[in-house]
Amino acid sequence: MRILAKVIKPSSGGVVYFDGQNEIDEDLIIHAIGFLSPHVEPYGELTLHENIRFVLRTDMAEDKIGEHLHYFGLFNHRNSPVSHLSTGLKQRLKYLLAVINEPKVLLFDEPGSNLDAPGKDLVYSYINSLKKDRIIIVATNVKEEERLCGEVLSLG
Amino acid sequence: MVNELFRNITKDFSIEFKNPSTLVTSLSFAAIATISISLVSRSYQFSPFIQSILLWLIMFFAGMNSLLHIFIREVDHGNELFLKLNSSAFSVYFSKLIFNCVLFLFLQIIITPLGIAFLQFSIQSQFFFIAIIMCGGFAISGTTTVLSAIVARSGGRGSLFTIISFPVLLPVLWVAISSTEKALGQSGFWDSESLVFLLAFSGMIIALSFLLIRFIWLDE
Repeated sequence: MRILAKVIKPSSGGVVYFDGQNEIDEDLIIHAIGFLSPHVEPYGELTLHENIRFVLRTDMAEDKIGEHLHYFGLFNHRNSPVSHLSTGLKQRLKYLLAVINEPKVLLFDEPGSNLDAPGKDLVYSYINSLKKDRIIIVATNVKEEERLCGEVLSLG
Repeated sequence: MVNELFRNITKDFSIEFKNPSTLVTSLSFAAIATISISLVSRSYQFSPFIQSILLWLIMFFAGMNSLLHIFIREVDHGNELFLKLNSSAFSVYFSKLIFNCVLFLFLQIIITPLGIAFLQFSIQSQFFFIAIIMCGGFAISGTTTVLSAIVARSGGRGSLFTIISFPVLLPVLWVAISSTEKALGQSGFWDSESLVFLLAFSGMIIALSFLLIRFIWLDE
């Protein structure tokens, strides 16, 4: 997944992203990808709101940020340091940070990890709503998460 | 790029304000070193040469911990991947370079009056003294930023950083110490060559860092 996210180079081969017929420049790839993984850690010293402001690449109005926070059930925690959040709330924050820039490609590594049942329902319905106009790649060992995908590729 | 740079700078300063323990450690080291020397030497008046050496050594070692941690912190706290996903290598490098320059300048602003107060510094050429302190500080910050990125990626720590910094910074310290000696001991002194050397050294290191940071910071 990190190779797809272009943060590491493969030992052989490569990954190329196209926007229509045009290859997307390497330096612009980070603008097109949203990545969620257990290894992606937002800044614990900063609040949720500060982490969101760090990630945002365009000016977004506060009420729009508020909408996203409300959707993921994080609005009441927006001024809390991330280090004070439970693992479930932190996972919801990671979703928010991965999608808030509306990237065209979303990479979800173990999307249901650390989430309780309501949290899973929330994010699975969110992923389903995004499928229409995004490329979504999910890496998972969980059967129910395979159902989020149109195609399944079994490795190993 | 500018927006990304601004976001990174804001982030780094916010984190430092919320947890200034590293800065406090550096300032404590500087204060303890200065006061210890003052107490041991009693009323002994050091020559400008010795004063210059003491000043730059205190600044160097006080700065090492703070200048290193800007990249180490990303690795230690597990934020490295998050940062790579949201910022290009160039904006990460330049934001941390600016942070280190401001941080070291702040240390110098604190340490220099300590030297004047406790080690009886008497600055004869004030303008040149300020210029050499700033140019030397800029050279040290510029060099240590890319070295801290290398140490962070290699999994090394403070001792490795100090060891690899010293030979690279030796020319800077040499010129800074000898020029500061003149500023402390000679009235109306000015040496443009020293300043040009320090600025050229900084420019060269920063230019090399700009070319190499992508290979250092990303897994290429």
